[in-house]
This record gives sequence, C-alpha cells and structure tokens, in this order.
Amino acid sequence: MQVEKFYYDNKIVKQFAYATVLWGVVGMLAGLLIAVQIYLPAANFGLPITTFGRVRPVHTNAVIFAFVGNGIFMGVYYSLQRLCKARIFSDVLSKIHFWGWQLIIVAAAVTLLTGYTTGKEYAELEWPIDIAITLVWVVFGINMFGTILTRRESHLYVAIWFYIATWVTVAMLHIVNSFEIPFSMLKSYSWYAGVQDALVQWWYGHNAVAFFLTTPYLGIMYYFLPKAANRPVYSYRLSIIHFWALIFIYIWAGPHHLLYTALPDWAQSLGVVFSIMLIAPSWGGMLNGLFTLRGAWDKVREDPILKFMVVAITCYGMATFEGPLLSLKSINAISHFTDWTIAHVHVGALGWNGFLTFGILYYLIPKIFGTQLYSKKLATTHFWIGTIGIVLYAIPMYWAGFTQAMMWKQFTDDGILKYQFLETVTHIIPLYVTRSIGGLLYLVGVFIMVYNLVKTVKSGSLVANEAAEAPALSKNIETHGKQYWHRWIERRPIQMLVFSLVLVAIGGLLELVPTFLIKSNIPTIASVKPYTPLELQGRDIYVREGCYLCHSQMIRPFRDEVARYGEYSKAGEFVYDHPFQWGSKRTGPDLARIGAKYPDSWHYNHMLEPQSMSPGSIMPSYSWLLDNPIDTAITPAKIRAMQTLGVPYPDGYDKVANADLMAQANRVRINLKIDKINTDANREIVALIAYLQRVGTDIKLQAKPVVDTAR
Amino acid sequence: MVYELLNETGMCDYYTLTHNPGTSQRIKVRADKFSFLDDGQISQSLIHFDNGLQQHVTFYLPQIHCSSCLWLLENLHRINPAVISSKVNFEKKEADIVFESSGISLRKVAELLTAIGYEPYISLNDMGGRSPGINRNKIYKLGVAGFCFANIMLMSFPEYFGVDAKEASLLALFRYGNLILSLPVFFYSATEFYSSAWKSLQHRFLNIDAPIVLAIFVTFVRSLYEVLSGTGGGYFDSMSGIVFFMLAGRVLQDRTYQQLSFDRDYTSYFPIAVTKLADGIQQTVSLRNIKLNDTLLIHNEELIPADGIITRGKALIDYSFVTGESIPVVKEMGEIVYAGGKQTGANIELLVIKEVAQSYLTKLWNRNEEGKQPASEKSFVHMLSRYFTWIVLTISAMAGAFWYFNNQAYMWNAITAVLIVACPCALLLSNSFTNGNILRRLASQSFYLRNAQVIEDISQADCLVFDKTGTLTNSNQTDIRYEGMDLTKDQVKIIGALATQSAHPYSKAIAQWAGDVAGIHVMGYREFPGKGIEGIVMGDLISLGSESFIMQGADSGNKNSEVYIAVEEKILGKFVFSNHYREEVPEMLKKLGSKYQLAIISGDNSGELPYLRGLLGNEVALLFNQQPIDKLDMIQGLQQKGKKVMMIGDGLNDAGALAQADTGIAIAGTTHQFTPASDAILAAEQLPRLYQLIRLCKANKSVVLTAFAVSVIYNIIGLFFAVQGVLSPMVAAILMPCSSFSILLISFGMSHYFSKKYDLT
Amino acid sequence: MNIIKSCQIQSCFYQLNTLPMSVIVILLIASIAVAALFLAGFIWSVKTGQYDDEISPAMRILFEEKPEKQLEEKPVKPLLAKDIPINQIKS
Repeated sequence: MQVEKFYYDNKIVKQFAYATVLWGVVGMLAGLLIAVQIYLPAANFGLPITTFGRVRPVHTNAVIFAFVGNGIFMGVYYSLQRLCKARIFSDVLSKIHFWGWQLIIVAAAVTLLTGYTTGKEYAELEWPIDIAITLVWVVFGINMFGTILTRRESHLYVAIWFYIATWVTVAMLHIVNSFEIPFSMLKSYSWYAGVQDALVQWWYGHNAVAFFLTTPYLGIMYYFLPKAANRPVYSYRLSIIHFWALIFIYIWAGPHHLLYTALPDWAQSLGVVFSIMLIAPSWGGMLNGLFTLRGAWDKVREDPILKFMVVAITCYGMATFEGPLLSLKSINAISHFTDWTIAHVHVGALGWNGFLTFGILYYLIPKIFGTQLYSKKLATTHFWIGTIGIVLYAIPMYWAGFTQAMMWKQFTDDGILKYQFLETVTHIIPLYVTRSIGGLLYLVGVFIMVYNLVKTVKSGSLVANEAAEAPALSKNIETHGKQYWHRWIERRPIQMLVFSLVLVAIGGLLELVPTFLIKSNIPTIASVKPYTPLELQGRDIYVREGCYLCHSQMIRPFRDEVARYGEYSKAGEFVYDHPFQWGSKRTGPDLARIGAKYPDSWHYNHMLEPQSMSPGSIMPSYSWLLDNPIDTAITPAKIRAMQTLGVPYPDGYDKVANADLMAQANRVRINLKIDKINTDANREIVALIAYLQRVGTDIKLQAKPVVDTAR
Repeated sequence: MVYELLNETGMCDYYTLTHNPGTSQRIKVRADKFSFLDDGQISQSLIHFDNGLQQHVTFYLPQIHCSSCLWLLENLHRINPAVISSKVNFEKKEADIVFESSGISLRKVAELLTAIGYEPYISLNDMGGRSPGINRNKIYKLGVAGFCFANIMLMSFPEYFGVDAKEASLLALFRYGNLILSLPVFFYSATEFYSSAWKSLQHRFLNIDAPIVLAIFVTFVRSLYEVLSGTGGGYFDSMSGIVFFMLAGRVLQDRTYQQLSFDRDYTSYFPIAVTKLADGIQQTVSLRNIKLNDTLLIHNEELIPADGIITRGKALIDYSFVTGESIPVVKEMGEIVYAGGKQTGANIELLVIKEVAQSYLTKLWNRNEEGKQPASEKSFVHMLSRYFTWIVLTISAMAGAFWYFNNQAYMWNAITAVLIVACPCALLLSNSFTNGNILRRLASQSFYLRNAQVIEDISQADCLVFDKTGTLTNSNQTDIRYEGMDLTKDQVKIIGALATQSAHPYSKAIAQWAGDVAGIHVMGYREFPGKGIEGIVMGDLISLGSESFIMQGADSGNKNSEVYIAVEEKILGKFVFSNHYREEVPEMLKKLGSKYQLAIISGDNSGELPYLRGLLGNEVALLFNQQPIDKLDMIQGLQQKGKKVMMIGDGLNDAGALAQADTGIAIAGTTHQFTPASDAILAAEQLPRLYQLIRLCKANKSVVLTAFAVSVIYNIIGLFFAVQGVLSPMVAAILMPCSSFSILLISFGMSHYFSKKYDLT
Repeated sequence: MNIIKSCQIQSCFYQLNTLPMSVIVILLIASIAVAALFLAGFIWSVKTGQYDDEISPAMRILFEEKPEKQLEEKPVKPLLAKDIPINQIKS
C-alpha cells in the first residue's frame, strides 16, 4: 500500500457552476417580468406563454430547482471530493446527472409555458418530468454514496451529513407528493383530493424549502465558510448537535402553511409547535456560522466573498426566525395570502441562497481555473448593489403585505367592509413598483458578477483534473473494542440506504392500499357532487392558466372574509378536487364562492378584458380562451382517471360524458346569447365559465348547515 | 533537524504555518533511546493491529498543540513512504499510525516522530494494551430517547389539540404508535437509572435515582393501562421526555478530559525498559523483568526505575520528579539511590536491591491503593432527594386516602398522578446540568476535575495543604542573592569564569549572575562533587562551594542553600539561593489564609521558613524536610481531627498525600505534563486564582438549589391537578419541558453569572 | 407495526363515512421511517468513533493535500494555531 495519487474532477464543477449562473439569470429575468406584470398588465403581451399565470411557475421552478439546484450540485461536487479525498465516483454518472438535470429544466420551462402543470405549487411539473427527476436524483445518489464509500478520510465531515439528509429526504418527499394518475402523455390528476392533497402538498412544500433550500446549503456553508475564512468552524460539536436536532424536527413543520384552512385544528397546531421548535437548531447553525468569523472581521472588511457569506447567514437567521413567527396563528391570520409571505421567502431566496451561491462562485471559479478573481472591486460592487436590491425588495413587500391585510380587515362603523378588494390592490401598486426596482438592482448585480467571472475564466485555464494525494483509508483503522454489526453497515451505506427506502416504500404502500382502493372519500356534505364533464374541462383550464397563483379558493373563518366572500370553506367541499386549488396568495380576490355571483356574460367580458368589468384591475386578458376549442377528445380519459380516484361517476359514464358536456355547453352558450354575446359552444371560455359558476355553490343547495368536519 | 526533513520532502512551508511549530525540536534524545522497541515482546504489546504487512500503533504525543502539529503528523507518509497513514486525535493527543512493517520498524517510527519534534511518550502502563475507549452507551441511549421522544410528542399532539370525533380510530392509531415508541425508552434508554438505583438499594441507601425509577415505572404502567383500556393517551411523551432530558444532563456532566489522565500509577512515570548489564553485555529488558541483584546501566537523563546501590560512576540525581526540589543531589559509589530520581550526570551502573514493585516510591503508592471509596453517594443531592421522596410519598398516600373515602374511582388516578408529576427529576436535572456547566467553566480556566463529585468535595474542604517546592514555587527558577563584601568587576568576572566550568545548577545560576566572562581562562580546575569547585583564574585561586567546603569543616548547621566564595582562602561572601515563588502566589496565600486553615509542607530544607512566617503569620503550619510518607500521615492526622482536607501538590512525592486527601489537586506546568493521581488537575499559571475557582465550586450548590426550587413550582402546579386526580397528559406534557427548560436556563445563566462575578471568564 | 396500522385504517374506513386525515398516516410512516434511518446513522457514527475527536475534523478540512512540488498555497495561516488554545477546545 502506498500514498495514492488521484485527481479531483473540476470539469463537472465548472459545468454546474455555469449552469447555476445561466439559470440564475433566466429565473431572475422571469421574476422581474412577473414583478412588472403585476402593475403593468400590458406586460403580459396578450400571449398565453407570456402571461403571469404561466411565467410565475417558470420563475419559481427556475430559481429553486435550476439556480439553487445547480448551485447545490456545484457545491456538493466540489466539496464532497475534497472532504472524502476521492474523485467523484463515476464521471459517466456525473455527465448523466448534469445533462439530465439541464434537460429536465428545459422540459420544465417548455411544459410550464405551454400550460402543462399539476397545479400544485413548487410541484407543478407533470408526471413524465417527475419520473425523470426521480431517475436523475438516483444517479446523483449513486455518485454521492459511491464517493463516500471510496473515500480516503475516515471521518464524515458534518457537511456530508447534511448532503445525505438532503438526498434521502428530498427523494422521499418527491415520491410521496408526486402520486398522480396520468390520463394523457403530459397530464395527470393528483392522487390525493382536497384537504388531503393540501396537507401532502404543504408537507412537501415546506420540506422542499427545508431540505432543498436549507440543509444542502447549510452543508455547503459548513465547508465553504471555513475555507473562505481559513479558520475552523466555531464549534464542531455545535454543528453536529445542530444537524441532528434539525433532522429530527424539520419534517413536521409543513402544516403551518394551512392555518385556519379546512385542515383539522390538531394538524395545524402540530405544524405550529414544530415550527416554533425549529428556531433552536436553525439559530444554532447561524450563530455557529457567524462566530466562525469572530476575530476575523477585519478579513470580512476587505474580502467580498466573506461579505456575501455573512449577509447570507444573517438572512438565514432572519428567515428562520420569521418563519416560526409567521406560523403563529395570530400573525398568520394577517400575513397569510398577502405579500408578506413573498417578502419572507425572498429574504431567504435572495439573501441566504442567492448570496451564499455568489460567495461560493467567487471563491470556487478562480480556484478551479488556477487564477485570481478578476476584480475584487467589482465583486464588492455586486455585493452592495445586491444588498440594496434585497432591502428595496423586502421592505416594500412587508409593507404591502401588512397594509393590504389591514385594509382587508377594516369595517366601517355601520359594519360593512370599508374597502373593495380592488382598492386594496391599487393602493399598494407603488410598493409593487419599488419591489421590481429592488429586483432589477439585484439582477444588475448578477450581471456584474457574470462579467467578473467571465473575465476571471479568461485569465486562467481550467484545471480539469486537479492532482491530489492521500493515503488510502485502511479499513480497520479503529480496531479496538469489539465492533461487529456496525462494521458491516460501515462498509455498506448503500445497502443501509436501499433497505431504508424499501422500508419507506413498504410503509407507504401498506397505507396506500387501504386508503385508496377502498372507496373512502365519500363526501360528508351530501349535496357536494362531482364536477360535470364541462366543469371538469373548465377546471383544468383554470389550472392550466395558473389562476390559483393569484386567486385563493379558501375562505377562512374570519368576519371580514365571510363578509367579503361568503360562508367559510369546509373540508367536505373539496373531496373531488384533484388537485386542490386553495392557492397561497391573493393578488386577486378569493374565488371559493364565485359561483353564481355574476352572470355568465360578466365572466366572458372579464376574461376578454378585465378592466372593462372592474376598472383598474391588474388582471391580464385571457382572450385566447374565446377562440380555443375545448379538447373533447380527452374527456373520456379524464372521467376514467377520476373514477379510478374514487369519484363516483356512474360506470361507463366516460362514453356519454361528451354528450352531457355539449348539452351544458349549449346552455351556457344560450345564456351568453341572451346577453348579446355570440360564441360557439365548444370554446374554452364556455367550459371555464361553467366551472366558475359551479365553484362553491354545492353547499348552498342543501337546507340545513352541515356539521363542519374541519372543527 | 526538522527543517532538513521538511526541506527534503518539500514541506518547507511548515514553518510558515504557525509561530511555534512542533514545540520542541530542540529535545535531544539518546541515539538508542528507543532501542527497546526492537524487543519483540515490547513492540507486540504496543502494536494493536498486525497483519504481517502493515502494523497499527497508537502513540501518545504530548507535544501536539496546534493545527500545524496536526498537519505535519498527518503528512508523515511524505517524510517516510513506509508510513501508510497517520491520524491524529487532537483531544487525546494521540496519533494512530499505520506503517509497513517491511519498510520501517516500530523503533524507526518512534525515532521519526522524535526527529520532527514529537517524542512519543511510552510508559510502562502502555504495556497493558490500549486503554478501553470511552463508554458510549449513554450516547446511544440519548439518541434513542431523543428519536422516540420527538415522534411520541408528534403523535401526542392530535390528542391534545382535540381530534375530531370522527377520527377516533386515528387517535387509537396514534396511541398505539406512542406505546410502541415508548418501549425502547423504557427498556433501553432508562436502564441507566435502573442500574444505579438498584446498586444504591443494595447498599441499603436511597439515592436520587430510586424515586425517579419509581416514577418512570408508575408512568409507564399507568400509560400502558390507559392505552390498552382505551381510557386515555397516557403520559408516554412526558416519560420519554424526562428520560431524554435527564440523559442529556448526565452526558453533559460526564464530559471526559481525554487528554488528561487523573489516575496514573507509578508505572506511567517509569520508562518501559532499561538497559541491563549481564556479564558485560548490554541488553534491553522491560521493567517488569528486572530482578533483584540485576545490574542496570542508567544513562544521562534517564529515570531510576528501582532502588539500588551505585556500583560505578558518580550519580548526580535530580529528585525534582519526586520532591519537586530541582537541585540535584550527589551520590557516590556505594550509596543507595531511590527509584524516581533522574540521573543528570554521566552514565552510572546500579545494583538493584528492590524490585520495581517493591521500591520505596511504589510501595508508598500502593500503600493507599484502596485510597478512599467513591464519595458520590455522599452528595447533598441524594440527601435532599430522600426528604423530597418521603414528602412525595406522603402526599400521594394522603391523596389516595382522601379519595379512598370520597370517591374511590379517583384513588389510583390521584396516587399515580402524584408520583408521576412530583418525581425528583427536576432535582436530578438541575444537578447534572449545573455540574456540567460548572465543569465546563472550570475547564475553560484550565482547572480539570475528575468528575462532578469533586465540585462538591472542593466546596466542602475547610483545610488547605500546599506542597511548597514546585507548587508554590517554580522549580525551574531559583533566585540568587549575594551577601558579603562588595565585589569588584574583575572579581565578579573571575567568579563567573570559574562557575561556567561546572554543570551544577548553582554554578550555572552564578555564571548567569556574573554575566559575560568571555576570554577568561581557568587553570587547574577541580570539582569536589557535593562540596564545591576551585580553580586558578587570573592568577588567583578561587573556590566556590558549601560552607563546610570553604570553611574547612566548620559547619554552622545553617540549612539555607548557600554557596560561599573564597579567593586565595579569603572568604568574600556567599550566594544565597532561594526558590522562586510563582507570581501572585503570596497574595493568593494571604487571601486563602483568611478563609481557610492553611498548611505548607515541603520536602526540602527550612530556608524559606522566615519568609513564609512573615507572609502567613503563626497559626499556619509550616513543615519542612518532609518525606512523602510524612506528608501522607500529616493529611491523615488532619482528617482524624475531622477536617476536610484539600491537598495541592505536584511531585510524585505528593502522590500519597494527594490520594489521601479528600480532594487532591495536582499542579501541572502544562496540560500534558505528568501529574500524580489526583481528583483535579490545575494548570500552574492558574494557581493564583485558586481562591476564585473554589468560590465557583461553592456557588455550584446554590445554583442547583435555585434551579431546583424554581422547578419545584412546576411540580406544585402539577400536584395541584394530581391530588384532584385530574392531571391531564397535556398538563404533564406542558409542565415537563417547561420545568426542564427553566432549569436549563437558570443553571446556565447562574453559572455564567458566578464565573463572571469571580472573573473566571 | 405497519400491519396493525393498516388494519386499523381499513376497519375505521368501514365504520366512518370519511377520514379526511387518513393521508397523515402516510406522512407519518414516511417521516418516522426516515427519522429511524437517521437514528441508525447517528448510532453508526457514534459507534465508529466519528465524534471521538471534535477538534481535528474542523481543522483538517482546511488543509489541501497537494502532491509534492505543488504547494502553491499555505495550508494554514498563522492565526489558526493561536486561535485554538487547548482549554478553549475543551469547552
């Protein structure tokens, strides 16, 4: 045995770094566009693919899975090799991983823009892409665990634990949340319905934040911060405790996204309690990060990289402190559905993820190109512009959120709502403008970085394979005391992993079989009936155009909401909603009781030109709905899919569904005709109107108020 | 030497790493110092893995101190390719080294380490194989408890937040889930407490764990009953929670200072092997195999392993190791030398008259092998818990009785609930967490305690006994004072010139005092071992030496360490040597003197008596010329007078006393210097702050009590519900973490406050 | 354990007309399974002495093992050593 010479693979790191920058720019541009669209409806250009409802998911997916995603892989592929003193397990797999992920991103962008979405926030991608993600994730896993297995350093540095946690948990979350029934090559219905769908979705949604935006970046922080500052982390013990505490608590914070909704109280409170408990470990991590720099603030003063990291960690601390606060019912009552949430997530995204990524890029690009950063000055400029950008973004949003919530809740002395919804929107438009300026500045900073990095790359040449050497890890290095079974595991993390995933799978199945094969989801509210074929089509259009991104369908039991929208929502109303469309943001008013509120013609005109019906509205026009024909060919498949999910359509209904569809369509057509609007019956607008007129009406049909299952 | 090594192997930047790389490259070691490692038997006992190709050995390297040590040591393979890998354990100051047995021998490895400044310390007790790794069971138990606690809590919430009637079956599901999850806690994690409680009961003694175990059992059984009978959710979360927190406290309190060893026996002092002369041939024998009447060859700077008679050469023996007195004593042929001394002169031969185990020192050591039995059971916490327990039992009995007569349905409810709520977990928690915090704070002041009990022992001590030499004074420094007629420049020079000829510490000191004497020649230099030296400088006959030597036999019996000067038989004056007291020590003694009964015992002459008298007044016992055994007896004497004695000493000669004392504190120059067995190790530079450190230990008790008192409030609230038989699991589940956390905060906060107060931060 | 649960789910499905939260059981299983997995990981890492030395790993990552004649950069800057006195490490 001898000291082994080996080479770190910097090429893959470079590729991921480039991808990170590229998608970062794309995602932020999309963000900027939708930020403008909010106060400038014209910016929707009247085209389906440039309309807010479709661009917004592109923005979220691009920044989360493309920008941060590639950032994670960049950080992991760089640090893991050096922490394990081994080259990444397989170059082939690395390639597959890289190109596979970029392919997924492109596919995602295309499908989302063309309106193929599951309608579940942050899980919008349709089933073929979900499968692709799973495969690529497995490839990543093999590469990661392979490297860990072939490592030359016996100790697993805490960062590696964070990476492992990320991999395992994201795998589980993705699988559980992506159960869906395909009914066409690109479309599917969520397996879960209504309340259940909501719970799963936000259990996923929150943990996506936890385990995709947080744990991997914490791992990365624990590697790159000490490296950049060239001093060991403040307390390694604290980092270990921090990790294990986080792991055991995080998974359950999800339900706090559904406070006051039709979700049962205890499930909500569960979310709250665990969210509160999260403060401790999160701050453990933050303090550990900041204390690492104790006594080195002079370095921070001149080193832009450290500047970025310090702000990133601070933002992490702020976000992880604010999060639990927002999960408190009293605060959530105000913040939820407003721009407060937007502000909160962007402090995390722009500050924590964005700035940490920039810091790492500035650190790592010169390293792998064997050169110095082109200009520290520019980097510092980037830092300041970016910081100002964040401030200009966050503050107006907090303000907007707070003002709007206050306005929503105001009553006049004689007990009627003080403001129309539209007033509360127009009132905060200046803040929206400021926000977009903040976003613009942030983006400018990014462009400065791009220039700086390009220059840096030009000045050096890639050290594709960086030579390194380390003595091989002699397996029985600690051979004192008797150790049997764990030595087995020690050599077999893979088996341990497979075993555990199998465990999860079995557990899941054991539950799924009874839960979904037995017809269990029979409504509590007798009058709640399945959607008619036309309404179903309309609903899918509603999903396609991303209406849920601006309109909630969940009236919370508050005086103002009941006064404004009508009777608050009950769990039983959503049993046929695959997927649920509760939404998370009220840029527009809630639609849970929109049904039968306006005549069909109103909707028709409103879709054609919103401002004509409600002057000052910021809603974009959906004129194409007036021309596009309904895709009736797919109706039977949709009905069958719904039947599999336990929606009680009579057997063989799929055959006759289209007949019913046309019949209802004609009724709508006639309604419109009465109001002097001529349209064909088989237009998408007709289907959409039919759906909108149906939403939230069932409950009115029944005589006595139902027992509310929610509370 | 290091530099060349590094240079050859392109590691020049080593020196740029830190200001003081590998502290002691300067250490000179005898060429064949590690020859004993060639001895198969010895090397086998050190190597803990050998597959014919590669061997694993773990060396203790006291010099490890900084990150560059780490770097250099883990790059051994660059210096010598035959080394496969080396891994440093910073906390233990150990290096696990894997090397090719074909390429390099164990001895060579040791020599390589020595060459780069990390001389491995190999002592006799390494022979007994590696010391067992730290016991990790508590940590596993903690982990399991944590896992179960988190999930049980999770599945208990539905119960607390009121599950809809329609979801009753879910509820059942959660309850059974909790039940299953609580099993590992009950049968595995909690065993910690069962065993200790059982032990105490065997000793007919009710320690704090007994009532806790009772509570755990009651909680578990009742919860079991509730779940199985479907009458309630039980208190599984409270149970697992409390177990989790108590374990956490214990783990915190049981922190170990791996790099320190509190109970070294003499074997860790003695070399692993010595050179034996058998009919003229030198051979290395392991210490255990030294027989009576063997002849040993003791090299310069080597320790005398067994009592013996000098058969050749002149010994200049430094007993500082034993007595703390640094001035070597001269032993002529035929004189007896005792084990533990270090030969500072040339090689000598020694006829063993007592085997190692029989030697004077080791006997002294073994004499109180039994020492004192572990005092942990004496802790006030246990006393307190006993009253507490009786109170709780009475309350539950009363509650039970009350309901028995009023409404029997409530009886068991009330009884069990009381026991559940009012178990003295709070007391245990506050105790263990506070101890943990205090231990950590003391450690941050380089005051390392063997275990938590020592805190209490220290706070109870009412009589402090100091060893003088090496403890109050610094063995490496002697103050020199000239008395007599004024000396001219030339006289100073010539005296210095003569002194430079001798290696005797006194001479060295004088030479230093005299300053530069370059270019002055000494003729006819003669050294009279143990008496003095003389020689002709600039034509004058100068003699330096003891009173008797200079005054030709006239000995005034003055015990001071003095050197007289005579030029041409004419006495000019004398140098008086005195130990150098550590900075601020006198002040510290004054401070302590006002609070405690003090005593100072010293192995060497009474030269310092007047000074100390003046410093400390008359009531302080000052004993000189004390043999180790005397020190021990003196401690015992004090203890018989009912004193709680704290002994502060350093040398091996204090070992007996340290072990005998209720609290033995060993003073260490550096954290890795070897200290006799003791309850605590204090870094020498911190000695002046001993008073504050003791104060902090005293504060410990009040912190525990405060924390406990506060947490009792929660217990009372709980009892309020409990006695009415209406303690809901939710109330219990809320009270438990509340009391636990307030305890955490209080104990942390207060220990922080106190250490600030005694400026120990 | 899973068996028990699933049986209970079934039975309850029959008796109740609805169970909005039955899905939580899936989440429960999934989460606890993962948590258990991490528990195993924890025990493994403690057992294999991953956490025996909580000082050197933090420093070790700062060294970059370049092969001979390639030491462009210093593994550690001086401040590092001063930074870590023994007693501070202990706490």
